[in-house]
Amino acid sequence: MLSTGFKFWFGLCLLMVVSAVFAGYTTGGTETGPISLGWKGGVGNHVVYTLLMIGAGSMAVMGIVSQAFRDSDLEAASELLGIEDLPQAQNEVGNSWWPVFAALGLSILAVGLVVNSAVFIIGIIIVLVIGFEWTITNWSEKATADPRLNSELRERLMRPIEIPIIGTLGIGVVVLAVSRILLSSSVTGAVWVATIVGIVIFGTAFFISKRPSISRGVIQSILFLGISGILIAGVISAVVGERDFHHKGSHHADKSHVDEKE
Amino acid sequence: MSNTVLPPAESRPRTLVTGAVLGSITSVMFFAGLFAIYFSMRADANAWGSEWFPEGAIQLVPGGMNMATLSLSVVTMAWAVRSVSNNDRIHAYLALGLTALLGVAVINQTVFYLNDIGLPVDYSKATTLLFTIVGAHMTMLGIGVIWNLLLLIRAFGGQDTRRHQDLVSALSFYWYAGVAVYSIIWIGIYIAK
Amino acid sequence: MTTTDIAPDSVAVTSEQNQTFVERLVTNTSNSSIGKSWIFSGCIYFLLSTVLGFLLDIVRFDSDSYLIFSNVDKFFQFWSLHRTSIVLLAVVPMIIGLAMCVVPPQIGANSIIFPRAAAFGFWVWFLGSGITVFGFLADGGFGSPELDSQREAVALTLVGLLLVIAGICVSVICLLTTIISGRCMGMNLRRIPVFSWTIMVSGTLWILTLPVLAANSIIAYVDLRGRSAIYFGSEDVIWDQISWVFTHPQIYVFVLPLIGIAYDIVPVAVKVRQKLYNHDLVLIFSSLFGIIGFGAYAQPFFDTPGTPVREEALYVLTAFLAVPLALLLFGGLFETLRMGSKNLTRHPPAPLILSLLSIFLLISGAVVGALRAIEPFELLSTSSNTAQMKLTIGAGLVAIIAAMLWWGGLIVGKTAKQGFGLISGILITAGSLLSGLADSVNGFLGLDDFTTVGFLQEVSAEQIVKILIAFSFIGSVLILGGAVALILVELLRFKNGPVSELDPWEGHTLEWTDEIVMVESERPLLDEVGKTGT
Repeated sequence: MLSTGFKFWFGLCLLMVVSAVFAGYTTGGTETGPISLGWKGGVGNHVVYTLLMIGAGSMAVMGIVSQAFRDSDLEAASELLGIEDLPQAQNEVGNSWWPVFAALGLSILAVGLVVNSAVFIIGIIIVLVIGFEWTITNWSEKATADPRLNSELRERLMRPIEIPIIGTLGIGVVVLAVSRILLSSSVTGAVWVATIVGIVIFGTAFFISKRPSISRGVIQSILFLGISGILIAGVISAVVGERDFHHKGSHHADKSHVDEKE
Repeated sequence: MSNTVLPPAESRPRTLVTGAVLGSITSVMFFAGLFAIYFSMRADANAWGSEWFPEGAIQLVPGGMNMATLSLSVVTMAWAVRSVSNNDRIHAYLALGLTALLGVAVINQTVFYLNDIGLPVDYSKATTLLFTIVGAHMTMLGIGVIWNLLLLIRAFGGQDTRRHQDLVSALSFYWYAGVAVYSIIWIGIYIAK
Repeated sequence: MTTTDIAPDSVAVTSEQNQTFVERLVTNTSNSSIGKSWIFSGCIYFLLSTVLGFLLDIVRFDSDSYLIFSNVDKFFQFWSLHRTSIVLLAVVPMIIGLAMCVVPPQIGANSIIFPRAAAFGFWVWFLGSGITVFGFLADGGFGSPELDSQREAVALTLVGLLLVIAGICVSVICLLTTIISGRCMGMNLRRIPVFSWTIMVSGTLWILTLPVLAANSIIAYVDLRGRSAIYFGSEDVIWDQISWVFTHPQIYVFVLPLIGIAYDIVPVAVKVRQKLYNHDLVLIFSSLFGIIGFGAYAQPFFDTPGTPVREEALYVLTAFLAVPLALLLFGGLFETLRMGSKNLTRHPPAPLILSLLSIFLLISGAVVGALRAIEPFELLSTSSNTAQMKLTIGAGLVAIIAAMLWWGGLIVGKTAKQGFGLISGILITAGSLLSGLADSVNGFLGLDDFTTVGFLQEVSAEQIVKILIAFSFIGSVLILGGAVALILVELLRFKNGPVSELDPWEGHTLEWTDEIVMVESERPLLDEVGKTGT
């Protein structure tokens, strides 16, 4: 018996094939082109034909998978697992930092494509590291039935690795962002920026140290805003580009060389 | 101090495979968009009688070798799926490792070939499209290789559950989609030029 | 069974209760939390894009005022930002958010499947949207007609768009997997509620078409980053390559879930089970409407000379088929309404009125789309393009308001003021209709859709055109008013809305109960009422 999913996806597939052939014949395809995937003759408008045909192929695969899995109905899952007490759709997972960090890594990678190859490489490293961490977390969650124990297993395995790496990466990104800001400012401006940023960091640290009762949330918010500000400013500075550098020696040499020729 | 620990709860089967099929379809449609533009521009160039690739720029041998390598990887990936479902760990490691190795070989050969063509990306519309399509496919394969390696790490972690079988099946769908995309590149670009 | 020497009581597990608000916000993986993030972000972008639309319409109303954007190139950039943001940063995210919150309980799943991936999808979209908007503000966007934009900022906009597409696709894959593999016992695919079904149809079409947009963007990016752009990355043609996403037929795919919203609301609101239009027929018609919206092929930029795709038979046929299909779907709702008319009070529920209005707007959009496809009218590049988009997207927005009034209690836990919500929806309906009709007529009078620099000269051509532009402007003001009203309604709900009941509407589907119910049809709670007689 054909499942509902198969009917839906295979129906989409058939409609797309019919549309592709119809479009082929109505956009200048030859007699046998549209029905032979262009092997014997023209298919008409290539964009229309290619997209509809590959879309149809994708839907056919989806239809076949759906039929093979019997629409993933719970009755089919019950038979597959051979148990009566079926698992929930999704085992509970707690809050996780990996999604937001992975997204951040991907965004840094994407921005790096435009602004700076070093930023791009940092993005790749972050994505790879988060991918590894995510895998280990998934692995540990399936280790035993006890979530606390699973969490301990993960921490024992990963803490000695991740703390130095995250620390190095975090410092590297901030240093890179600050260097972009300083390089895009004028010479005097860079001095001022460095001075002001130094005073702000020192002042904030002093303020926090004087208030030991200050909540973790406030400290985190301050750090989040500060680092976000530095990163955004770094990206903007990288887009703007570095200031012009005048190398005294080479400029002089070039000039004298021209003079000699004259 | 010792404590008795229960095995993990079962997960709903086939969710990973379904997700991977949908993800693979998304990737294939991305390439469909690239192919559609490539074939359209090439048909226009042919219609106007203008040059598409310079004579001799596209050679069959490297593309054919990649196709053969990826065809082999289809076999090794199927071997991995079969081994995992038979609870045969050693063969599963071997098959996953070999698949990753073949993937790396294709990426290596493609990088060499793109350098060997000797044409810059912005030489013509044809080269822009060629580098975009082949580069995107290398990225797709690279993701497949990394996924493969992460699976190996999980396998070495000692997990041999149904979830792990689903993970290998999910990867296999993605990998087959990558090979299917490459077969279009091979026929549509390297052979038909 | 295995043994281990690790003592569980010595484990230091970070408790989620100890997390700060910011930590909880960025690390939460529950479907309702992710859904609310999508809806909240979508609402903000909706408000911003309507403000932008209002500013753009000031320029249409008084062409000399384009100087508020400093020059024509900037005007073009903001015009394209408006189109991009209203679709990919407002309507689609709000629909995804609704689906994240409503679909799992509707089909009996305890959560979205792959919750971490769903959270990842949201954050990728969120960061991508920020990069896209930044790219526009940094004088990039999708280029400009006079090649006056910053190339790096254009490249940044393109990678931002790629992230936006990636985020949407990842989230949609999670939703589709949940619908396919996460259903409860008895809930086969044929029995899933129409909203979940339309999410499955539209989700399938999003993952079939949005990657094609990504392909367009990446080719433009690669070419733009070359030493000199050869063709695709030239700043005056980038928009032409991606504009197919914001017009017929692709625009239908983005608002397709409005059919599901209407079909889940109307029968419950009038307290009947559909008869004439049975569930299966609605599933088939909505699927057909979805396939008509597959618009990735309609890319005029890659037309073969002499055969423009928008004048070809397939394009024209789908444009015409959309009208009877939309009418058939409206007919089903009308029949249900007629059957249940005796159950209606003098003040029918706001979501019921808004769902009907949204389908009416969809029909209007489909009619304008069909008119555009009639070649002798020569409407393809005229303001009728804007008209169709305003009507269709307006339909989607009104349906989203209806859905928020209907399911908002489930999502937020608090009840909204239905009257204010109704006003918001009616303002957007009136604005979309007024603006859409005026722009349609202007299309017949030959007013160009803004894609060329010459547009501003054409604005001041005819008196009747100027009068109609004034009506279109009033329409934009109404839409802006509706957007502000929507934000106020939701703010009031968050601030001091009364706690909502579990099932305020006496719903028919599983999201309205927390008990285990046998699923034997598409309306399990109605079956229970039939069995117990209460």
